[in-house]
Amino acid sequence: MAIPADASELIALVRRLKDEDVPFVVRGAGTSLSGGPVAAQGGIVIHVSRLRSIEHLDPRNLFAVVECGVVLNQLDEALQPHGLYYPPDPSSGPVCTLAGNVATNAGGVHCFRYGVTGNYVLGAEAVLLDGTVVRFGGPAGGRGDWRDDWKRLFVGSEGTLGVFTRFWLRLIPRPEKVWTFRATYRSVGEASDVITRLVTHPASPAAIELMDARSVAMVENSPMAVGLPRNRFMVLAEIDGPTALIDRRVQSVAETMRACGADDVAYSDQPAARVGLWKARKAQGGLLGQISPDFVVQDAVIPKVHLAETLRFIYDESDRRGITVATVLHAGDGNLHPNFLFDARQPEQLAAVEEIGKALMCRVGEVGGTLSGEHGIGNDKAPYMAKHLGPRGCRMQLAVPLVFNPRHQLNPLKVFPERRFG
Amino acid sequence: MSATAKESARLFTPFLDPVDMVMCCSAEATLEEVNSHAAAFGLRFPLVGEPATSLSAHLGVIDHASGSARFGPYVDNILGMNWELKSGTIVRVGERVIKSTTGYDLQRFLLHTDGRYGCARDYVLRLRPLGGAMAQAVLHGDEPALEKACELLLQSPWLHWLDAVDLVIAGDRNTSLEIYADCAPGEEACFGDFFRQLAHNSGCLVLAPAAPRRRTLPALSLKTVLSEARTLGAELVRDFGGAARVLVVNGVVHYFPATPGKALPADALAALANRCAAAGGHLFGPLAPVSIPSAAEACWAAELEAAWKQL
Repeated sequence: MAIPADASELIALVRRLKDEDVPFVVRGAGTSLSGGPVAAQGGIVIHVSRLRSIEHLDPRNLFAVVECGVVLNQLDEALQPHGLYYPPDPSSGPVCTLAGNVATNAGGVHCFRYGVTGNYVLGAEAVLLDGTVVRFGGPAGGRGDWRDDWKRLFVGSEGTLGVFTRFWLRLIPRPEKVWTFRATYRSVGEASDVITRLVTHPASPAAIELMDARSVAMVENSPMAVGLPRNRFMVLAEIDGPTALIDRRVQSVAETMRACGADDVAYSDQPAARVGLWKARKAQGGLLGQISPDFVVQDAVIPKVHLAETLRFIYDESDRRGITVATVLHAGDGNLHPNFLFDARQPEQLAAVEEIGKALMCRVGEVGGTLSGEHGIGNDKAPYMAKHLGPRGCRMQLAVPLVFNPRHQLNPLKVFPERRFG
Repeated sequence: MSATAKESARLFTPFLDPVDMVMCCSAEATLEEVNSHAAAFGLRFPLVGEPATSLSAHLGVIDHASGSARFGPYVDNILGMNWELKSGTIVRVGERVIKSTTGYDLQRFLLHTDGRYGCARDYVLRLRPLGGAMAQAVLHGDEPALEKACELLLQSPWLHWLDAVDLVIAGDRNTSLEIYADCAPGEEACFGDFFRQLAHNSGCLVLAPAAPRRRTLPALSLKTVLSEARTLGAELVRDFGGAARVLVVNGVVHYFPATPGKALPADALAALANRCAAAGGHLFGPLAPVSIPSAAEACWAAELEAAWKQL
C-alpha cells in the first residue's frame, strides 16, 4: 500500500512502479461494488485519500477543480454556500472519492434527470504509464490540445488506462425546491405502469425509484420499519427546480401516482418529512448487512418494458436455489440492483449466487440491456463481457487498454479477464 | 448460428421504444424525419438544427446545438451506434438503454473523430417527451444589460429547465438573448413571469416572438469557458462581420461569416484555436483549422486504427 501525500508524489510513484514492473491499482475509498479497486494480481495499491483539495471554485463559469481524492459529499458541502450543485450522487457519497466516481462513471438516484458522472467531467488530468502527465479537456470541457476527445475513453475506464490526479467538474445552480413523493402498489404491473407514466411526465422527475415487495417487507420486518404495508411495491419520485414552477406540478405528479392504483400517496417539500419518505429506501442497504453474513449487489440496466418479467426471472432463479433476494431499482433508468443474501462460508450458497448472477446477465443481454449501469465491470462482471459484446466488440474494446497500458500493469484482470499482467 | 450471423444479430435494427424513449435510425435520417416519427409517440429529439439535414451532417459540423442547455451535447443524446470501420466491417458500439458503464465509452469517443476510424451507419437516439407547449422570449438590451441577463440566468434555478439560452450577435446594436423551454400546456405564463423578472432585473426589454425551431448550421464552432464564449462571439462579429450564436450554458459559439464559406485569416484562426485550447476547449466545423496531433496522440491513433483495421 502506498499513500502519496500530493499529486507530485503520486506522479513520482507511478513512474517508479512502472520501472519496478509490478502491477498496481488505484483505490479511492474502496466502495466499488464490482471489485474495481481490488489488487486482483497482487502488487501495489495506491491510496489517493490524501489528495483531498478542492483547488478552485468558479461560480461564474460553473466549474470546480478538485484533486482526485476529494470525497463526494465534501464537494457538496463546499458548493452549498455558493448555491451550486454537482448532481451525481451514488449512495456511498459520505465516503466515496471523485477518483472512484470518474473511474466507474458513477450514477445515483438523481441521474435519471441530471445524468451520470461523465456528463459532468469537463477535464481530467492523469499520469500515464510512460510517466507523462496529460490534461484532457479542462474548464471549457472540450478537447483542449488534442485532436480527439480522449477523456471520453478515460472516464469510466476503471483505472486501467492511467492514474487520475485532478478533475475539472461542471456545476449547475442548486435546485430551489424539492418535492418527494412516495406511493405503494399491489403489483409489479401497477408499479411498472406508474414508472412508465412518470418518465414522460412534464414535471421531469429527477429521481424515480422502485423497491420491490420483498425489500419493503424486509424493512417493515426490521426495527427500521416505517409503517408501509408489507408485500407492496414502493415507488419514490422526486421533482425539483424553481419554486414557482415546481409547486404547480405537485398535484399532477400525485394524481399520476394515484391513477395507477396507489394505496396511498405521501408527499412533502419539508426536509424532515422528505427524509422520512426516503427512510425505507435508505435503510434497505444497511439492513442487508445486518440480516445476512454476506450479500452481493448486482447492477444491470434493462429496457423498462421488460421490468416485470425480469423481476420474475430474478425471483424464480433465486427461489429455486434457496437464495433470498431483495431488489431496488433506479427505475427511471431501468437500472436494477438485486441484492442477493447468502453466507459465503457455505460454498453451495456462494456457487448459487454466482449461478444466479450469470443467468441474470444472460437474460439482461437477451432483452437488450447491459451488464452495468453505474458500478462498472471490475472483476465481478469481466467474465460476461465476451458474451455481451461478441468477439468483434471485445477486440474493439481491448484495443483501448493496449494503447495506454499494453502489459496491463494498471489494474489487471479488470473489465476483461484477458487483461492479465505479465 | 454462425459467428458472422451472431455478429450481425448484435447490430442495432430500426426501432422506437416509447417507454425508454429511445429510437434507432439511419445516420442519414434528417432531423425532420426523426422528429416526425418521434412525435407520433409524444416524443422529440431535443437538439435543434436544420430540419432537412441529416444527423450525420449535423455531427460533422457541430457538437452542441440549441437545446444543449438542458440536454447536453450530441454525445449525451446518442446512446449507441452501428459503426462502419475503415475496413468496411460494421460493429455495434454502445447500448440501447439510457445508462451504461459496460466497457470503454467508445461511442462518445468516436462520434466526432472526422472519419479517422470510420463512420456511423445508424444511431440510437435518446428522445424526450414533447411537453405540448413552448415558453419563449427574446430579451433586447445594450451589451451590459444582456451580459447581466446571462449572468443572472447562469445562477438561476430556472437554468436547468430552459432548453436553450442563445445570445444572438448580429452586429452593432443588434444583439439579443433568445430563450425557450419546452413545457406543459398552461405553464407558459409561469415561465413568462420569470422571463419578465429576468428582463427587469437586468435592464432588458422582453419580447415574445414565435421563434422557429430551426437553426442554420454554422461555419465555425468554438468551445470554451462560459464567460469567454460571450466575449469571443462579440469579438468575432466585431472583427470579421457576420453573426454569432452563443450557446450561453455550454460555452459554445456558432459563427456564421457574412459571406457563407468565406474563410477567416489563418493567423486569426490559429489565435482562436490556441485561446480555446488553453481553456480545454477547441474549434470545430468547416472553417476550423486542421488539427495536427502531437507525436503521442498520432501514435495512439495509429495503434487504435491498426487494431480496428483487423476486425
